[in-house]
Amino acid sequence: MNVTEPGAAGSARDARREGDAPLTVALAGQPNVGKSTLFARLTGASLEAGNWPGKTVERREGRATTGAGTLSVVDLPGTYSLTAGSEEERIARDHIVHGRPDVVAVVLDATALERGLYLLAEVLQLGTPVVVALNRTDLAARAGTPVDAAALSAGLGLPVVPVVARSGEGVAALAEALARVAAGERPPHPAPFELDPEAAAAVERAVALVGPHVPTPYPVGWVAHKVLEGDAEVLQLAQRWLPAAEHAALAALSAESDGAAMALAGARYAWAGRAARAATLQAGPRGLTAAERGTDRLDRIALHPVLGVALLVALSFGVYQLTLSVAGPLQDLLDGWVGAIGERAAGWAGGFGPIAADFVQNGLFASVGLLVTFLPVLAVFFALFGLLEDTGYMARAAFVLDRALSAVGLRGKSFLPMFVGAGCNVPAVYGARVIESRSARLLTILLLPLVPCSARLVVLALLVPAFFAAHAAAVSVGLIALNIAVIALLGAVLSRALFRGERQSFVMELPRYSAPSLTAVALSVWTKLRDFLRSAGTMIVVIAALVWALSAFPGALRGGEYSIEQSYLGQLGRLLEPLGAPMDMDWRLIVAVFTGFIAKEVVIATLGVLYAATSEDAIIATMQATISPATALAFLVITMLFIPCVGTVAAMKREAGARWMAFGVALLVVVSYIGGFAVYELAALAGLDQIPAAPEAR
Amino acid sequence: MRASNPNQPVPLCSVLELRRGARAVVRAYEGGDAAATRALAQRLVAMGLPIGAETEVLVRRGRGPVLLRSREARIALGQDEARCVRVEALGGAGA
Repeated sequence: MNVTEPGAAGSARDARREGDAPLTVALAGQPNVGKSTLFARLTGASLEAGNWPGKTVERREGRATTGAGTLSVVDLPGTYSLTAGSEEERIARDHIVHGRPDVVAVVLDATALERGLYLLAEVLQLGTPVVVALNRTDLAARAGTPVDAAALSAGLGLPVVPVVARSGEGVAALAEALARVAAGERPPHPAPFELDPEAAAAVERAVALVGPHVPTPYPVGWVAHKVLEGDAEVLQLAQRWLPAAEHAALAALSAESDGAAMALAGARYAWAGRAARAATLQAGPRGLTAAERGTDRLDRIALHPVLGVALLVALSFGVYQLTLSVAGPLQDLLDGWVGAIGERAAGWAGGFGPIAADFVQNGLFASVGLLVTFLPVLAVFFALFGLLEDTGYMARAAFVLDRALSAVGLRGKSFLPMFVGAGCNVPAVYGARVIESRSARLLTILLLPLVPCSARLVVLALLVPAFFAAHAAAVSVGLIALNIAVIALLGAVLSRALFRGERQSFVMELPRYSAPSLTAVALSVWTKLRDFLRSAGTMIVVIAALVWALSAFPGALRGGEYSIEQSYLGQLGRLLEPLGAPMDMDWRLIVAVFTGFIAKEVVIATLGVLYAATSEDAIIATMQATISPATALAFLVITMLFIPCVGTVAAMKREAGARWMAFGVALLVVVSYIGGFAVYELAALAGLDQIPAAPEAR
Repeated sequence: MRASNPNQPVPLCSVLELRRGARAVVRAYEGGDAAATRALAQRLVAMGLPIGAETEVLVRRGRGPVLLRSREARIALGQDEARCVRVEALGGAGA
């Protein structure tokens, strides 16, 4: 049976082209074949990222330059096959069928050829012209199983371009081949795809039944295969296309779909196996390659229930330490610059009156400066996370934690966004997309704001030593442990209450360990920073300015000295004071909690304004004199458990919808209040609710 | 994919019953929930474990996930999923 459909679809494609619209390429491939590295090499800095319309799956598009002009390249989600089983697969196949790219580039890993050819078999059935990009030819050669691209090309009847995406080798040739095929050049002999007689007969029956009714652009052969396999999406379409009289026949065909699906899959693998063997030159007896043995050895530790967890903890600390030590000096530098620019600008704005000057310096530049100081920490943290992920280690972390996470209604994959959350919750919420199951993703997103992020630790770092000097380390660890305990408890409760009966499945590939690709890591750092700036950035600046306004007005409008207490913000604090009374928190701390909604770092600045203190030491001294350790502890607990920042809320709305976001926010308000109150009472029992008579001399 | 003696059914067990180091051939996917089993089967087949594929158990410990090696990949699955993978154990280290 011939799978590549002849000219009809092609000429329709040509007919719709007008003028010099660039030729379109769709990049397909299985996960872990190096597709994103190849995409980065092909399109360079021309990347435009967004989402597939109406979905939360990321869509990347870029331009590739060739001798013949530019190509528009769309990176399809990495999928193992093209069933209706996941959103990614449906997006990929929809784009090929409806988006009608001029050519599909299928990326194969030369060290996992047979499996990649399985996907290729599925893609070929869709009828678009295909070019094969054979990646990692260097690794295959080193492993003693070099793949002969020419032989593969002859066997498949398709153009095959060997590439090494990591170094960029072969990428230019690939672009040229794509341009030629997109422009209309076709290979002479597309190879046939054979089925055993029984399966072939079944396919013929299916083709006879659906053939007359399948509309363009769907390929008949593909529809027939999918009907036999019991593909949910195609069956729905077929019901719509076929007249009612034929529905019974349709049902009969798909009744034996389990067996048929396995038979068709087997036929694809047989085809793939023959093609792979014909193209692979085996140097010696087939055994484990050095790379495989190396991976096995490392996994002995990384997957060990005790050593593996120890390794994970050690790596996490390492990442954290490195981030703080590298980012710290950068932050100070940026802080200084923004402050200096702010002063100049304020001086200039002074010409418009004292309010303008105050706004520019304390409203605008303070908030922009705040945003800017996030960036070094985030960039370094994400780079380190990206490096770890690119080596293949993160999959091991998910494996090792899967058992513990299933106790709280999650699976191992939820660990990945939670680790990102330790840097910043905002990109972590976007990162939850790696979780395939909708309910697991929702539960993860609900719990992510409780992961202690670096911003919260800044507040911790200031207040814990001030009130618990002797036991600072223990108290800090205790607060973080509290967050983790609340995550576990809430996870267990929510998964039973909200997602009762939903079994989460855990299926994940553990890729070979490999040296990370700096291009791929740079791309992922950029994506995460971009998500942060997009959703958090504008909001932080706008709302920080708003809070400044609330704290300055109406006093500033009347001119002269004004106290915060009389401002709108102060009035709000006074209004809510009864809520804080059980914890002995006055309006100032309540206001600080609320301004922490913008971003936790703002809490420090707000405390400074509220306590009329201009340096951190002064803040500490004033606070030590006015609040008890128990209150301080309650305040810290609330800071740790309360809404992390506007950016997180915005991200939650994007990824989970407004209702789940509202539920999540309400949940955090309740949890943080109960937590703060409980901790206060416990601390009071320990006698910490008295303000020490003589604060420590500094 | 035929048994050596066509008159004798080949004994199948779930891959979950094998110990670390055991080798087996995938023969079927069976589970209580038909739709879930089919989805799992399609996924695992595409990842490298079609009917007839040889596999080796790399990690099998307590209640944690299982790690299987297919010819070209390492695939981790939870115990519930592993239970659905019916295999024919090969000689050597086994159940």
